[in-house]
Amino acid sequence: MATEAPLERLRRSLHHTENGLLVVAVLAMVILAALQIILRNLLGSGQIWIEPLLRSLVLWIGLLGAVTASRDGSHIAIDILTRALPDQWRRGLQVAACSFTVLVCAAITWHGIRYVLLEYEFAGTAFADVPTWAVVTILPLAFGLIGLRYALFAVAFLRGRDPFGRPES
Amino acid sequence: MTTFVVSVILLLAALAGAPLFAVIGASALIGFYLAGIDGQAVIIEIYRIASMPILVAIPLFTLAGYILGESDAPRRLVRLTNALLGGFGGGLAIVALVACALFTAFTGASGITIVALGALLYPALKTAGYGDRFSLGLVTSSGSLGILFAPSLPLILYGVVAQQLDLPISMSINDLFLAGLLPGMLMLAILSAYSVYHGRALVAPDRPGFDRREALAAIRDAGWELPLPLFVLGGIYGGVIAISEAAALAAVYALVVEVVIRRDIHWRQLPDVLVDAMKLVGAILLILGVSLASTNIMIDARVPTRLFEWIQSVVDNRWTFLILLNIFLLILGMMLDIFSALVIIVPILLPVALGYGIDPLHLGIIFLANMQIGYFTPPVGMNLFIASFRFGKPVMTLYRATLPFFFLLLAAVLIITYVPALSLWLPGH
Repeated sequence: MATEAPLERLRRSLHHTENGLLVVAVLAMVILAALQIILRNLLGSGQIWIEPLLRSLVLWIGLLGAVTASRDGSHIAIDILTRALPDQWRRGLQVAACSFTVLVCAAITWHGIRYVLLEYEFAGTAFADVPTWAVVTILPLAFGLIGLRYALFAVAFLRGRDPFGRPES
Repeated sequence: MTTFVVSVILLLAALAGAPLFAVIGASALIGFYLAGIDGQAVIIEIYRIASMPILVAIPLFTLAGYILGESDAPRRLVRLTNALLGGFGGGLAIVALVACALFTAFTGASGITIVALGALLYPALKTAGYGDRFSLGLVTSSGSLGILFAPSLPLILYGVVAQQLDLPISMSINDLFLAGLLPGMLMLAILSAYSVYHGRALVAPDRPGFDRREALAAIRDAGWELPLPLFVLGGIYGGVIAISEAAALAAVYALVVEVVIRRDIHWRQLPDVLVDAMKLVGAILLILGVSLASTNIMIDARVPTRLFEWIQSVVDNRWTFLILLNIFLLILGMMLDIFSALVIIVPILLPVALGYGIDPLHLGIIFLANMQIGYFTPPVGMNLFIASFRFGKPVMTLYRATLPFFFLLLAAVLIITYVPALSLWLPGH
């Protein structure tokens, strides 16, 4: 369908950007963590900025990882009830569950944006010259992207499709 | 009244299949709202993920585990252990147990062990003459064996959650690793004894004797991977290196060996492996983040204290409490995965258990040991479904196959629960 092509392109480039960011962040974390050990053992003391940078990277990696996990709906959920239900019922419940998730993500995104603005005004630094608001930005960004995915899932379930797939049957 | 209505709605959302991070996040948002606190508090709590140095170990160990899982290392691990132990009665079964325990300690009990190792071990066990049912049962129940050994993620996560609670007793993650050692060995020993007993009656058609040449070749084949568990486990248990340092070393080592030296993983495949590993990390850290917020509200509302007072009015001694705890955790383990259970239940349970004089280290080991068998407790243990899918067997077959293993490990869990010294002797608590 011609109308879906730009959307599909957008989805794909979003997908690639998320993966790219995540891969860069993970490799940076591995290298920095190794560098820290080398410095500590050779020079007797590591660089002070590496430790807080690593901790911030964990936050970014965790949230970017959570975004990629939401792409195929592989977040941890209780499925003993839904697994046993007939497809029709299951889809109905999933519409409700996904909409609920969208609401929660929207609320956290909103509070996140407010908090980023507050930190921006406050102009504190997280480490070295990196301002706190820049580190915190990942929070509304990630919850916004996760919420977006669950909104798409809700629509898909509503249309009678199953975006998660069922491996068993 | 409001609290009750909200709780029911959240419970329904969870049962309808809403992701748990959303359910916990909602409880935090509503809790802060009802307490008259600005919702930005939720953000501040999640941001605390960036203030815990120990958490660096989680993505690093997971990365190392996923790289090893995607490489040919599982095959080499099976070959090696088989060459060394395969010739003894019940040897191959013990091989399977040891290999699974080691692999699970590194990858966390997320079903990877069954998918990556079980697929190799199941046919090998059958070729060696073990019955279909025994082999299936062993491979499935071993999928969660090893979570009591360093550097397992559930152990680290328990330590992280417990450290948030301002306990009167100090405990380090290293103490936890030491506490898990003997209980984990007990489980291994019990299952090994059963395997030897089972293998004794078995007339193996072509059980090979000990082959020195094959043993040497297998050692050489696994030569690059062998040092990894040695320096990680040795370093941690020996107290030589910090956990986050061990994690960094493991990640770098696994990357260099499997991508650069052995080239089991092509560098072009690497991004996919990284992203896959971080999906699990993301799922765990996300529920940890939102639960930091909900835990805070719960403690402010004195939920654990009130729960303790209520339980104490019904259960007056520690032993009864422990029995009830075992039953509760067994049911919990069937319904919730280990990571969610840790971040949701431990903050409530730990203060209550402390009230009964149970050491936090001991509680951690009881908790994880119980959750471990919850993975394959019928009817809804997660690993039963993973194994059913992986080996193409009906779930009913797996219920029957895992039953003897279930009762043996249940016995181990009871021993672990009622003999605290098993957990507390090594860390010296």
